[in-house]
Amino acid sequence: MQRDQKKQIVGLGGIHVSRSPGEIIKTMALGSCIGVVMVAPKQRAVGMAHIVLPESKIDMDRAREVPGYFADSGIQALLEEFRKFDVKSNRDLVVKLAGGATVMDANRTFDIGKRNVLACRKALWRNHMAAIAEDVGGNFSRTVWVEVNTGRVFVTSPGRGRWEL
Amino acid sequence: MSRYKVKAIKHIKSMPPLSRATLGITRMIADENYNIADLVRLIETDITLAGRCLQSINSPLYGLKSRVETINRAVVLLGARNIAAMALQTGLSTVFKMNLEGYDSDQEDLWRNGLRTAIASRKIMIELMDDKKLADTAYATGLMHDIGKVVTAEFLREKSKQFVESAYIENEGNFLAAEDALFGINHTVIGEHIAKNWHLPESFAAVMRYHHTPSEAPEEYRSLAVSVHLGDTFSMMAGTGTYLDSMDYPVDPIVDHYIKRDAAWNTITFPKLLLDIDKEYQDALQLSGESGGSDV
Repeated sequence: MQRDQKKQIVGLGGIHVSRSPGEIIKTMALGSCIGVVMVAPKQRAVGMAHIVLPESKIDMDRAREVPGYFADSGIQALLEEFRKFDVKSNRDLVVKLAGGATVMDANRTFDIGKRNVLACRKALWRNHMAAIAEDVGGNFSRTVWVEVNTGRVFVTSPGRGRWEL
Repeated sequence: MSRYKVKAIKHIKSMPPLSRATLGITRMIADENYNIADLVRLIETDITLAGRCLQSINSPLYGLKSRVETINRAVVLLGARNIAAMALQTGLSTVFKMNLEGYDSDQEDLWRNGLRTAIASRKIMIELMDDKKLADTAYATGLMHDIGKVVTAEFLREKSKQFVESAYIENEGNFLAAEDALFGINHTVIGEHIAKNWHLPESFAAVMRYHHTPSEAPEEYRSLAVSVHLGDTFSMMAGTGTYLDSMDYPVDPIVDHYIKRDAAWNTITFPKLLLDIDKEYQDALQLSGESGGSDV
């Protein structure tokens, strides 16, 4: 990450799509949340949604206010946002997923991370899409960012360094 | 006694004491059946605290029609429990805005983690553990549970990253065990010492000590420790941890004996609980003067 790059932070339930040269789109310290990254190489547009929970049916009002909060409404809203950037076909989009960490819980009572991953995959399938790369699960938090210039996606995790997805 | 234990004791003794009013509020909350007049009197004896409480109450976010000039009126409008929680937050805010550099943490992370854990612990106590009486204590102890990190952050800052990483790997990603291996003491034991040094109620010291290991807590404080243990876990899941150690604490299996789960736990009850915690947290962040969501 270079210092002169403009940074757009995507908070819980946030969605952001950009074509601004030099910008990076970033989401911090994902625990059980998922960073859904989509890149449209032809249109040179890049976007991210910060998904918090699997399904919008638990609170439709919230889904209307903040569609990015849930996997189903969030992926739909991210796709719609790309339409504003001339991305007319989902086939123009490359998808990557990161996050969905699991707490160290032997009884798996609180495993919302895994359910978030499954809900994201399901929402993508409904749109005839699938992620070409995933960095999900495990019991560690991740910070994820994507560069608008290159479409490259990076992940960092405390104590684990940085890698490209 | 290890070098780090000696340093920890020295550090704890040098920490500024809590104000009389803040300490008094923790005792009232722990006492459960406090008197409203005593609460009002206590806040009013601390001019700074009273002023800051009134400033918060009069913020447009509360949407009150007329200006509130007295703590007494604030209690009538918002309820004693809300005012006690607000006064406690206000009284502690400067202590909690310390930088946890050793955890690679941002300035506000300890505060945000405390606030989300407080809200989550209270909700867990009411909704999953059916104990309204302990709800306010769960909130207050949740707010303060990680204060011991102020000291371990200093220890971590002195260690090379490589050294910390290898201790973390050797202890299979359990950060509490890594702290023990590195320093012979961890942030929960230090937290308990701080609570005692500040003369906080016993329940507070117990939560600081056992919030990662509630099964080891004395029986009378175990349910409280369970609520904060889970509150802290949910907080880290939402990305509101203190960075270096986020998600690195195992869930104590004893929690399953304390919480009630229905048939819709996985699909509705649990996600809805996390959503409600987040809504309340975002509102509380706004009221405490932050915009919230952007970098959580």
